[in-house]
Amino acid sequence: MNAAKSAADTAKDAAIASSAAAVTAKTAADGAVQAHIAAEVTRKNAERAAQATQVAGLKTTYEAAKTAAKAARAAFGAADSALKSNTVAASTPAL
Amino acid sequence: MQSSNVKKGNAKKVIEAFQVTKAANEAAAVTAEIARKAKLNADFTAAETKYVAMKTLYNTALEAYNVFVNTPVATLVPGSTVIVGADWEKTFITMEGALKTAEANINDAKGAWDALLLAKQAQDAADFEETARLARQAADLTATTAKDALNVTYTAAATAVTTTAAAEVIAKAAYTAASTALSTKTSEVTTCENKNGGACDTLAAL
Repeated sequence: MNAAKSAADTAKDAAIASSAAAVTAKTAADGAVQAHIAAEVTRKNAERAAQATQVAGLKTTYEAAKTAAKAARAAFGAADSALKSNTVAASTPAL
Repeated sequence: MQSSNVKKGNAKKVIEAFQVTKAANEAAAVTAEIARKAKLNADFTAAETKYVAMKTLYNTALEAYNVFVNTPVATLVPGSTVIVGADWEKTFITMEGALKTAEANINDAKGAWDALLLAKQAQDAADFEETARLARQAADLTATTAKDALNVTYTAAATAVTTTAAAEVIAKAAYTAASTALSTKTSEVTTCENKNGGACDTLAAL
């Protein structure tokens, strides 16, 4: 009788211990996952920040290129008008 | 090859000598032209001076002649300076001859002066025309230079339009691609933050 009870208690204790170990293991695994997610988020945020800086630079470059193109078109228009309005013709043969 | 170089060297020397001679001839022609104009002006001035002197001499002779012929013979009295008789006739002939000589001289001087005046007027007209031609030439050169400058500006402006337009297209493409990549990255971060590790690239590989 006593021997049977002792075996049952032992089995029960073992089950409890196993369950506790499982909980501990799950907690540890969850912690590892969250830590990894946090690390990933940090890494991706850093990448995004670098990309955002790059985009800002490219936007500035693009705006400057647009402005330069606009100025060039205006300059061309002025040069074209000046050339068309230049009606002076040579009155004597060239040397 | 060496012979060819020697020939080229000789040809270059011949050309250089020709150019030196040509320049010397041109300079000599300019100097001669200046001297010719100076001589023309000097001759004209001399002819004019001579003409004026001849006129003076003629007028003096004419005045003396008029005084002589208009003086009444009756006033010719002994002791006066007026000559009578044969002397009068002789003096009259002499004075008339002097007057004719003075007249001939003045005509000659005027003829010479007229000829030189025509030559000088022709020269002045030629100089005026040459000055006008040079002025037109300078104006044309200025106009041509200005037009050339306008053409250069036009070409440069046209090139700049093409270049800057291409640069704009390239910059826009780069900016658009980078913006798209940023949006993708932002989406990735959000997804990674909102879901469990399976949404993160590195976790998916675990």
